[in-house]
Amino acid sequence: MRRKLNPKNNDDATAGIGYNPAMSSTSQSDAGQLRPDQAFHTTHWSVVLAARDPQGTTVGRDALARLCSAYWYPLYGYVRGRGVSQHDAEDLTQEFFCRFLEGNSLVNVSPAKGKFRSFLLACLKHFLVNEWERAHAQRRGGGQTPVPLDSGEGETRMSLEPADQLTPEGLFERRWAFAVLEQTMKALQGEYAAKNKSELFDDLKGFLPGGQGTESRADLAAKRGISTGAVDVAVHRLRQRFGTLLREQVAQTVSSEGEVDEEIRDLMTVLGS
Amino acid sequence: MSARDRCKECGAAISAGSPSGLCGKCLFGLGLQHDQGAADFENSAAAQEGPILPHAARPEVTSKTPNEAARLMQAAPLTERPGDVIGNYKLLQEIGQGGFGVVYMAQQQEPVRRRVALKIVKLGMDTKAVVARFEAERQALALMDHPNIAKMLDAGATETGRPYFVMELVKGIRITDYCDQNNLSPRERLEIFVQICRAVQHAHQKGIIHRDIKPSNILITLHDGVPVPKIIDFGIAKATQQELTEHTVFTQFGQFIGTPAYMSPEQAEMSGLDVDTRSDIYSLGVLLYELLTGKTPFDPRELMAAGMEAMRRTLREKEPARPSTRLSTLEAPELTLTAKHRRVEAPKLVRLVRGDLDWIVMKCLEKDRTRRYESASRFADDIENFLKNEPISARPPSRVYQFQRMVRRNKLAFAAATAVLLAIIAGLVVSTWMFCREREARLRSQEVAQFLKDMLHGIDPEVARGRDSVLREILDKAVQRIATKLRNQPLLQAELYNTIGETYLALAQFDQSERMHRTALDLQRKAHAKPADLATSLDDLGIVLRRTGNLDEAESREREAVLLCCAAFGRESGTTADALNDLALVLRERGQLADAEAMQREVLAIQTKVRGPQNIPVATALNNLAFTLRDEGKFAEAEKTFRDALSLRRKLDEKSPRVGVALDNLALIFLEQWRYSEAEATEKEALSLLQSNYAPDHPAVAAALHTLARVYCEQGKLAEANDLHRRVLAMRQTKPTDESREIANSLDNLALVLRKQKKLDEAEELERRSLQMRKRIYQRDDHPAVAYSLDGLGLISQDQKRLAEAEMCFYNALKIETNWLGAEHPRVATTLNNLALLLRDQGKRAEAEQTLRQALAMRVKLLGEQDPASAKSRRDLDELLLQSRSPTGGQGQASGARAN
Repeated sequence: MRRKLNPKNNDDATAGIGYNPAMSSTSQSDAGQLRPDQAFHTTHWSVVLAARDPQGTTVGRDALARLCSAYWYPLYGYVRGRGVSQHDAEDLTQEFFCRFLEGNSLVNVSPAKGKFRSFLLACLKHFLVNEWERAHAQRRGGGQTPVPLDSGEGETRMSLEPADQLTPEGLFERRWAFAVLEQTMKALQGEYAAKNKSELFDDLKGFLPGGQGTESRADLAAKRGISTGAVDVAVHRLRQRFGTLLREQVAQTVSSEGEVDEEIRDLMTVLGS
Repeated sequence: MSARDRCKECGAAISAGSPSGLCGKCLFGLGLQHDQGAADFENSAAAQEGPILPHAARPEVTSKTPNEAARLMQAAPLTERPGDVIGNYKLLQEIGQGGFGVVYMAQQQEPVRRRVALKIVKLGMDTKAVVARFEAERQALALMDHPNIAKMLDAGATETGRPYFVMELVKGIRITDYCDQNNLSPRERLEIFVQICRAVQHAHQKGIIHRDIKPSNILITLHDGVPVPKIIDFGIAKATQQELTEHTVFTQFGQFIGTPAYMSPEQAEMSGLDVDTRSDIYSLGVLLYELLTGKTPFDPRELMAAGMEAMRRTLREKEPARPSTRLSTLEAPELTLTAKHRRVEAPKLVRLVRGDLDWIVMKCLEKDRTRRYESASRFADDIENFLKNEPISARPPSRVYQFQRMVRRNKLAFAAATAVLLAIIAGLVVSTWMFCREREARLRSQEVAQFLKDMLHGIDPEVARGRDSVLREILDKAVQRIATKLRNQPLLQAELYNTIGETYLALAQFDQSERMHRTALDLQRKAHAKPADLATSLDDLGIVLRRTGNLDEAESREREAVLLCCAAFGRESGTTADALNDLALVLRERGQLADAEAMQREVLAIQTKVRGPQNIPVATALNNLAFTLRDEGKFAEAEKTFRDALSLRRKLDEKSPRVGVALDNLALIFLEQWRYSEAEATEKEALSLLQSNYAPDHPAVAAALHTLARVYCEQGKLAEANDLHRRVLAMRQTKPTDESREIANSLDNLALVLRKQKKLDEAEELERRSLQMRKRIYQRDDHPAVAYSLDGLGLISQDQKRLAEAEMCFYNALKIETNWLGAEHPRVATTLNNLALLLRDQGKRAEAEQTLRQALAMRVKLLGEQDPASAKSRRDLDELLLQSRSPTGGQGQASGARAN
């Protein structure tokens, strides 16, 4: 009647936020296309950490925005899992990223074990807890940087997922693991596309683990007019490349290269339960 | 699960949501393998991808014809099927699957023909090493000869290079399933469990540690109808796990350990500390925990979801809840089911487990293995001691606990001296804190806090039957002590303050209650308490604020509480529903009835679902919903809902004063419907229940007396009504300056009685006081409660012949009511009726007739033709029409009772 039942502030989270031209190069599709020769140090989570400092470099901020965009869905899913409606969850997630990129509202949260994943979730929890108070304590200022994302995508995926018995944290990790794989897949696909080998990629994809391999290798060899040995080699390369790209993807979310293996194992555990 | 859903490479189910339907785990594995040494990589790639590099690892494949090679490539290369022959064994049928691998029933061909169980381990480990380690232990395994241990017969490698184990075929079901399916009592469970301990002891004496004791490794078979436990998989864990480095364990973690819930801290640690027999003791403890409570000490999902490091930390540091505590914190339907599976009543199960069994289990679960039972047989002995009611060797660790135990055992005796006990406990908190080292002290303080909470809960006035004043004094003292002596423990302080605040509220000590909750909230915010704890304080504070009429703050506190609860537990949880309930009450008091009704229906649905249909929260939800329905003028629906609430209350506890409250509420709805004799009878029943349970000046008693006074007023028993209202007013108002909604109600209703008694001046004075008080309390001039006062003032003014003033009052009341309650509402009809009679007195007959017709139509529509209110309007209308036809009809005759 007089007041909306929903405690959320009615302001659109993105309304009134100035668009920062420095960010204009980042887009959703960009996020996955990590060039294979990209060295670890330029996209490193530690750089990203440094970017939380308001004086941080554009490179760092850029990398952070890209990471956020890539891992938007698990966070959104977490918010949704807390019983928030689609629309509100989108707003909250968007708002969260804005604040996160803005950086200074999160100085109280310290990176847990250097993992971007844990850090982001900790920040999000912190954010959700304080959201009510914040909404009342202060009006939102301008100057935040919007994270470009396609929010409709999140909901489609969400509604496809089976009702899970996992905890929201468990689900978050699971979705995170899938996001890592998806980003890697996108990158891999991108590479093949760049070499005009999209078709080959589509043919080979089914030979990745768990793939149904609709065609046998022999059929594929016949179709492409190459030997089965050549198919084997191609499949092998695909798998090898996937591994490399996966490591790169994961490396962006940990604070040192030494943690890559551990993170990969953690994510395997997440999927293994 | 169909083959489509399984990964051909690792055999695990492919998770829903995995990109392109690929196997997420193997995809991650690609990232890992790539990092390993070249030789290693070749090896694992060959193992994983088989047909890709057939020449490298499987020379036998290269020797085949190209056609055959192609066929091999097409087929899922590494899956055995029934009919396949492995060594001396022919696979008959699959009998089990797990993270570990697949188990088949197989036929041994030679030297003897017999059926065996053959377990094929998943890919990914060094087969040679596994087999070698098994060989090393084969001698020891052969020495094991125990009826409760399945014999390990053989081990080897399949053609595809996977290790397999052969053991005695056990046709049985896992112990936890068996116990639940057959509803074994705790005693029967313990008796089976003792046999398991003895068997484990036998293995330990032969130098064999199981390392993977869990329900799926303990099967129950029936021998002549007697359940006999069989432990399977002895030797496998060691063969497959011991030599694994941390690195490989991580990699294989998800595959080899289905759940870490049974794993001892030292096992999870992989710290190089040798895993010994005491690790099995730990796992047995977990198993016993589960047999008693249906739960493992730590939730396996949470353990897995938290990641390796967090999992280790949990196992290493977190104290699990005692089995009895775990049981008593289960949600009601779950506890009922758990108890049912054990053939006991829920409270009895908790009581049974509490004490000795708690200690036996907790001794096994000690993080420090030197504090566990030194052997499985000592463990078994202790359980047998328990079964024979003899003293057990497991001991509670602290004197605080012993004190608690003493108190618990003598609860009846202590109940009489609750107040004294409280003082002692409060002192104990302090001394515990002073004398113990920090960490220990904290744990103990928490124990004491829990105990204090239990005790305070136990002396809720509903139980204490009115020993309020002593309690108040004791509580005041406890507060002082907590403030000074627990200064270093803000969260504990906050917890205790909240508990005491609730008690103050129950004692209707609103100021103290509010202060407690505010202090708790401050402390928690400063100490960065968990959201769920914050929510508790916020909700508690919101309740007090609502009770004292501070609706703005109450709403914002409750909304924050709801938000936090949603974040911590999700929308569909009992806790969130509790907070929503309290928020809805605020909305209702603000007049946002549709919102409140919708929210209360949601609360009802959640509570029914989460806590079961027969539960106090459900009764509360029904009751609160009924109030909103009444406010909305939906009397019939409200009556039905009040009756539902009442019958549920009666089912839950017939003697509870809550039944009295429910009766009081039902009487209110009768009153609303002008069914005075029913109202009177119901209210008197309510009063007798309330007065025998509560102090004579308890708010619930006052509320019931107030309703009764209103009934008397309507019945024309004005002297009694006057008397009662004044009595209630005295109960509600300890000093003349006190203000509250209830006091305003009393003034309003007393004024109406005085009006009927023709004491118009006093009536006017009281009504004006009520009007002003309501405006202040609700902090607005247009609240429905304000409209009540205006309506009353209109009636009084009319009798005082100040007709213009009366008209203003009615119009204003009408405006507020239509605004808040909608154009059609029983209350609007009442005010219209009053206004019509005033118009008649003013000689505005046409207007009066029109207004009366409007009131009549509304009443007929909302309440029905036969409703007394409709009849009253019809009578008034008839009279008016009669008068207007009669030339002698004068204005002066239109007095009489008009207050509807």
